Amino acid sequence: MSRVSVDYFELEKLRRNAIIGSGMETICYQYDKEHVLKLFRFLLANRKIYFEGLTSPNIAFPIDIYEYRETGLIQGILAQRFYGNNLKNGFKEELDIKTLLDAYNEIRKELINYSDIKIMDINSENVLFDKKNKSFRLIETTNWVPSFLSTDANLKKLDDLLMQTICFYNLGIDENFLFTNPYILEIYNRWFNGYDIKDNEIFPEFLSEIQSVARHELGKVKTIGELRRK
Amino acid sequence: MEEKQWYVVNTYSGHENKVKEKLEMRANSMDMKDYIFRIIVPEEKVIEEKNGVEKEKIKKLFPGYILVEMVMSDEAWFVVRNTPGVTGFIGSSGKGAKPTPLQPYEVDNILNSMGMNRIDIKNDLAVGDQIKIVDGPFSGMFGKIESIDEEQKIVNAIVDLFGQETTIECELSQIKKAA
Repeated sequence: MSRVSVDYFELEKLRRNAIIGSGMETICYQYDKEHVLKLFRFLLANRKIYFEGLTSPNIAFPIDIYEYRETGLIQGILAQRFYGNNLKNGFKEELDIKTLLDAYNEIRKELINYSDIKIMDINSENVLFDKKNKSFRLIETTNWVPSFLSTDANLKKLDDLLMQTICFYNLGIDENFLFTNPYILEIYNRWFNGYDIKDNEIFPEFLSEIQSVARHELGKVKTIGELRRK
Repeated sequence: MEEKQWYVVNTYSGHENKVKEKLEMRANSMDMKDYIFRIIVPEEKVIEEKNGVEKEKIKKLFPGYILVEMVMSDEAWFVVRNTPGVTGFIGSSGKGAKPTPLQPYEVDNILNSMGMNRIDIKNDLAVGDQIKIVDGPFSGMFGKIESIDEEQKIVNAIVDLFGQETTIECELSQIKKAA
């Protein structure tokens, strides 16, 4: 964990590394097999990076912070590299529902520990599912800030994203969908209409209910792909 | 009062029309009619062929996004942000900073493709209004509306050209109301 001071030429050399991805704020470069370097597109005088040095098996906290030698402005961060598919197009069809729920509980347990952090930028590009290790990975932490009493809000962001991913991308549920099961419709409406922030069991409840209905009415259902086909 | 502008709002994918409906209801019930105006789900008509039969379908241009014309006051921001199905604004850092509006040319591109205009002719413009010309050969000049052709979406405006009052014709996309 350290501050790394770089000059113009050193920065240009780093930018010749392979680009893994890019977003509105950062470009992500390959640093080595285990690490990525995220460099900001825009330099802001008042930019602050928090949680430098925090370690987590599932969250890419900053390891080192890169500063421009002449001005001290933050250029980017070094972070752990995680492998997996982002949620942009849903979960892969063969994904086992139990595996998904176990991974969900694992990341929730971890987020509950961070009650003094407000997590930001939870979206389908910044949340990966590592199928090999059966875990969720949160990969964009540069905008996370210290904040108290934010556990429920944090969990709701994750629940929201997962609900939307499963409903829309995996099950094809959109505003024209006709629900035939009242319990699933009830959970769905609770989610869409904005449930109480403390009622943050929406995602597992929804998934479990769908699986239970599908199993009962249509035979055994184990994977996301089977749910959709039913 | 701040000028109304167009903002891009993030919604649950596949629920854009439902969100639009809910936002319109909230704008009415919470007395925000002077802050939240038009809400658009950008769509286009596409022809799809299935089993040799061509069918016209409506396809959303930007799934997961709607456009909202609004005055970005704290109250209006709160109403939009807390509408069911809204997940955020585009162009906001998320740390309390207000979102950035769309540029006029970006709005024009989207609305024109839907046969609409950035300026709401029926509600925003009237003969006698002061306007600023933002595009075309008379860009930068101020004028007064002399007549409006709603069908052709053009206005005739009187401007001061070399010390003489002259009537010029402008498209709606070339003007904005002067503050």
